[in-house]
Amino acid sequence: MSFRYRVYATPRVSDTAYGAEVDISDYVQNVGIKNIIRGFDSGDYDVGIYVFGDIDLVCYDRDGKLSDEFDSRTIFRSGRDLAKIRVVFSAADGDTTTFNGLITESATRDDFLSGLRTFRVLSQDSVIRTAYVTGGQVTAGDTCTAAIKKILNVPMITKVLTFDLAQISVGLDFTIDDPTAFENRSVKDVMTEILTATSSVMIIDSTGTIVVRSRTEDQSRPTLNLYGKSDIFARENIVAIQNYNTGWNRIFTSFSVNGQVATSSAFATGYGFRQKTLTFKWITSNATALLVATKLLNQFSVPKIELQVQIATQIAKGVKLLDRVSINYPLRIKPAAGSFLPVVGISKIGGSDLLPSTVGQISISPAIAFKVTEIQDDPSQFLTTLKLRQVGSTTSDGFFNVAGNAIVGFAIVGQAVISGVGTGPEYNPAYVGGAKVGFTKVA
Amino acid sequence: MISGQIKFFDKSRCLYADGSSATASSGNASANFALDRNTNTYWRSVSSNDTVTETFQITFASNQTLSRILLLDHNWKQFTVKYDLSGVWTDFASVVGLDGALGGGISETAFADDSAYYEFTPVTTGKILITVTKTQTANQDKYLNQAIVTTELGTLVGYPNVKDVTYQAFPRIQKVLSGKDIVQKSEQGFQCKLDFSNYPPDSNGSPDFDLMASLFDRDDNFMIWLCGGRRGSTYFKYALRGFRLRDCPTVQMVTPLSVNYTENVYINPLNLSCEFHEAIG
Repeated sequence: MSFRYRVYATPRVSDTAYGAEVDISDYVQNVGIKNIIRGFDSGDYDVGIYVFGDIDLVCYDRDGKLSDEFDSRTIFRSGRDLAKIRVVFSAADGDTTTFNGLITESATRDDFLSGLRTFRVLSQDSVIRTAYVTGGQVTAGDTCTAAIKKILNVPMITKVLTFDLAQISVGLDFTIDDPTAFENRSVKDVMTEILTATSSVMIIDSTGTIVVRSRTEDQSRPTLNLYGKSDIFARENIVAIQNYNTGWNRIFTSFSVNGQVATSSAFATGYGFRQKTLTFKWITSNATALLVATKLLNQFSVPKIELQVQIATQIAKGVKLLDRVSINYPLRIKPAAGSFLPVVGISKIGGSDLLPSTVGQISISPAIAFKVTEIQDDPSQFLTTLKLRQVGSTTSDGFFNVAGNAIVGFAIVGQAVISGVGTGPEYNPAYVGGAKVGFTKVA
Repeated sequence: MISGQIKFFDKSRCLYADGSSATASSGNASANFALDRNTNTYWRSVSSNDTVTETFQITFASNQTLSRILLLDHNWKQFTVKYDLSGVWTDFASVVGLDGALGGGISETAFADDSAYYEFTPVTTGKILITVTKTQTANQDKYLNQAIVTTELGTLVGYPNVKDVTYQAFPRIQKVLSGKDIVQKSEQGFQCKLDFSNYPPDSNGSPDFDLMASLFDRDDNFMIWLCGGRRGSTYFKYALRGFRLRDCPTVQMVTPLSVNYTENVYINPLNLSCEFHEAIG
């Protein structure tokens, strides 16, 4: 199956209306699209900061079609500024839009020597960066949900994005005490604070609709299954795993919100006292501040595994933020020389099969549930890097809740009883690497 | 008799990774290992002997048209292979094996190689049934490393120079404080080069160029069988890894199709070189 990226431009025909979409792929350099990024929680010590990366489109405008409105050959008769750009990953089984943005004329550059024209294309959320909250737009007593509606459902934003109140569902809702703290500030800054305080994330979906939701994974969508180099069925589809860490760098065992402190003494003892201090001038109620602090503490007090996994874009093209991912990355198992790989249920205890050797520093169990927190496409390599974080907020969640999904390591060898004869999933013969000694039933 | 030149096949139509599955009369827990293209995993029967006929059934994810079967690395002496035709297990027609034509479908009684290969009239089916009774060493448990069902993309007419047949373990080598190395080997990958030098620009050589061009155009992976079905001391004083019957890796052509006419005279012999790497997917 062959792949390529296509770029489409939709010029404006007036200040408010757009014309027909035009394929400008043949004008774009083969390395003319840099990484496309969308995600949130991008920094180690940041929470709720969302990122929809801008791109530079490097084009060779051989016939003036991409010129400004003063060139009669151009397709941008009403100017290039705010013209829409759509980047599509094209495969034999269909096209997937990977980026939607708007040209910003102020950053467009021409290189007379090479004849290249570089367009700066801002992501869809750029209007959120340039819009601002006016005085009186939000009133005291408004809930966070109502405030989000008032802030986002304005013509400057809705001329580019779609606002649907049904898509606004914050993780924690409460009333706003002093909305004057929002006035004359950019919508992005205000939304960043509201998202953080409400334990929510903001996503712009493929239709350009603004979605605000809690940080939990989307269980309504299918799970992406990824396999490492030593998958026993040779289903390998992972190119690389990077920046694997246990998540200790991102835990906070204490949150201080407007001076109201929520601390987990148990986790502070176990993981150390690490406090994040936040100030929200629009919250004056101590009770509300404590509520916010407690909610944030519940989200970030337990370390959750984080990693970046690089896969072919063809595999990742349907993935959305907060989708669940399973990674089956076992140790490399090598049968002993002259011996078969023993399979529990087939090999005889005390028989001739020798235990295999296992090689490798780390393995990842497919039982661990991850959620996607960032998607980064590299169009030049047809590769996508997914930033993943283990789901859940406690020490016991964070795994797929599937019958027969035991985690070796909870049971104690020497005390647990090898399952006897039965008909439930816990009595199925195990596979190498998935033995169910002392099987623990998932609740 | 099969020609014995290098053969190319479409990738297996019964891969577990693509949704096919296998069931066995015993050792069912390991049945799918025969569909995974992993040379370390096998289907194995349990407590079997030469009086016990084991069955191994492959169910494809969807109906497939196939004309070739490879059974790589097994210990079977007496076995049959049939396909499902409207619910009836049916013999393949016009079967040619490693040593020539077989009568009555795929039915072996004294098979002595570690791998089997069959060509037959194409069929469209959703299932394959293998029955195994005797093993080459009597009364052993039956085992099979890989079952491959496929179609042929082509067989070379000539004999290119097969170069740089490489099995790479992609080791991670780290030097430790003592100055010695820690070597961690990874999964193995296969590579080879085919060098067509001074090839005749006629029916004795040009079909090979057409085949190489068609492989270059393919986006899907395919399989390469360097031994082409030849084995034994007549053809190999010693069969190197890569040239054994069981060696049929899934590859993709990774180099540009580099062609030229000798001394740039268009009626002169042809030259072509290409490189294949083992590929996933």
